[in-house]
Amino acid sequence: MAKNGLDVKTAGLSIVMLAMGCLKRIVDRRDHLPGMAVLYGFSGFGKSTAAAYISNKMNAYYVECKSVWSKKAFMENVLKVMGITPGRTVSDMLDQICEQLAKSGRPLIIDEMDHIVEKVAVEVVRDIYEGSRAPILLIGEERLPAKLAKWERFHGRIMEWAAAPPADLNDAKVLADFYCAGVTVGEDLLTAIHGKSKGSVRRIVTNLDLVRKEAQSQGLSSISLKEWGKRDLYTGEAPQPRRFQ
Amino acid sequence: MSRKPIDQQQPSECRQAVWEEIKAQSQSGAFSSTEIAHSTRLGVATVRDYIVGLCQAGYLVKVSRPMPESFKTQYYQLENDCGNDAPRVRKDGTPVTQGQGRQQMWNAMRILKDFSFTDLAFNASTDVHRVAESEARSYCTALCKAGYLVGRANQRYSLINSMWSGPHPPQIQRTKQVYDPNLKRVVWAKIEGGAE
Repeated sequence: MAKNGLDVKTAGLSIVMLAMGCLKRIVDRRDHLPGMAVLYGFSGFGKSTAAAYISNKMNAYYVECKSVWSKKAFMENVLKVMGITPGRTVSDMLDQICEQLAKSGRPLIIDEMDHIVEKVAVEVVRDIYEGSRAPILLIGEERLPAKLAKWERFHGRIMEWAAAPPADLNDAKVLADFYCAGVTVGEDLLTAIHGKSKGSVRRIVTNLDLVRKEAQSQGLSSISLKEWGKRDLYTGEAPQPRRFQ
Repeated sequence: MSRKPIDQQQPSECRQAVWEEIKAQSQSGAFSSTEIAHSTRLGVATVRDYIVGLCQAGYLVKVSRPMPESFKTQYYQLENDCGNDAPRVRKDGTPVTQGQGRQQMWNAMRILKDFSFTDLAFNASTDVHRVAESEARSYCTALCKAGYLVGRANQRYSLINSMWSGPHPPQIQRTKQVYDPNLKRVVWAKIEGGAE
């Protein structure tokens, strides 16, 4: 729960707290310490939710990489996010980015970092860091650390590797409070949802949506496993093969 | 004097223009509000209000220059250059919070890409500024009309990537139009008495 502020439910998710702590540590670091951090984890674990929260909270620039991006495309997009007209050459653009980051003191969040790791574009991120010493948070899938390991000069500049945790039961409660406002979701049903969702924030939300709709259509103000019955919960798995009899 | 709707203002008639002029002039030393007003072609009073605010917030500092008593022009110097974006401050130096919710929603939309307004309200809230579901709903509806979002089944929306025009959130004006500050033009207007 957020201290000294509004009681906003988003801040209570474990992934958001982790990402927030991570970004705060690289923002408040001492000068001689490296200023980059990596947040990695499976898809659906709430990395984007965390990114949305921390970029709003810490006033960070956020870019999401695309697999087709070259060095130049990457920098053009960072400048677009900053609201600056890109200069003519790649090195002009690099200077513009570094200047804006250094002067504004705002952190940079790079999501879907996996997409540019395989290319030389990863060197640009290092150049931006060296040129601005701005805090940079890299976000990517589970295999991102392994992919980054190839770039030795990158490794030493990373202060923290944070693995996105699977959503726990408390996270499910936090989400239920928001997404099922007005409907009390029973402890047993919530546990079932949490179990079926296998730690994915996205699946928990999908299931809570189903539950809320069911409760509303039945006119219930509280719903537990008994009322839910044998209805299916969304697990995200492909259906079992049918057997030919 | 009341402020004109933003689409009727001169392109330079905003704080961004003043801030850019301050940055440009401060490279050659101190400046006065009259000088800034002159080169941005804005009213001295408008510029002075903003400069006083910037000074209160610590972005500018007052400098004294040896000059005769009759010239009591106050000169300023850029103290804290925070980059490209004009600081949003009131005259007393406190930050402007109007439009904070829209800014947070606009940021979150690009990250989420596909969302319901409940998702948007959840993801765009921070402990400093909470976004209400009703606020998210009305903003989504307006942006959908203006063509930034496409509506999908189950009241879900997705942002059209190429429509993300820049860091500033499109504004819903009281006159029922949508103004995009990145493109500096009205992108959608309700036509009264049109063919229904």
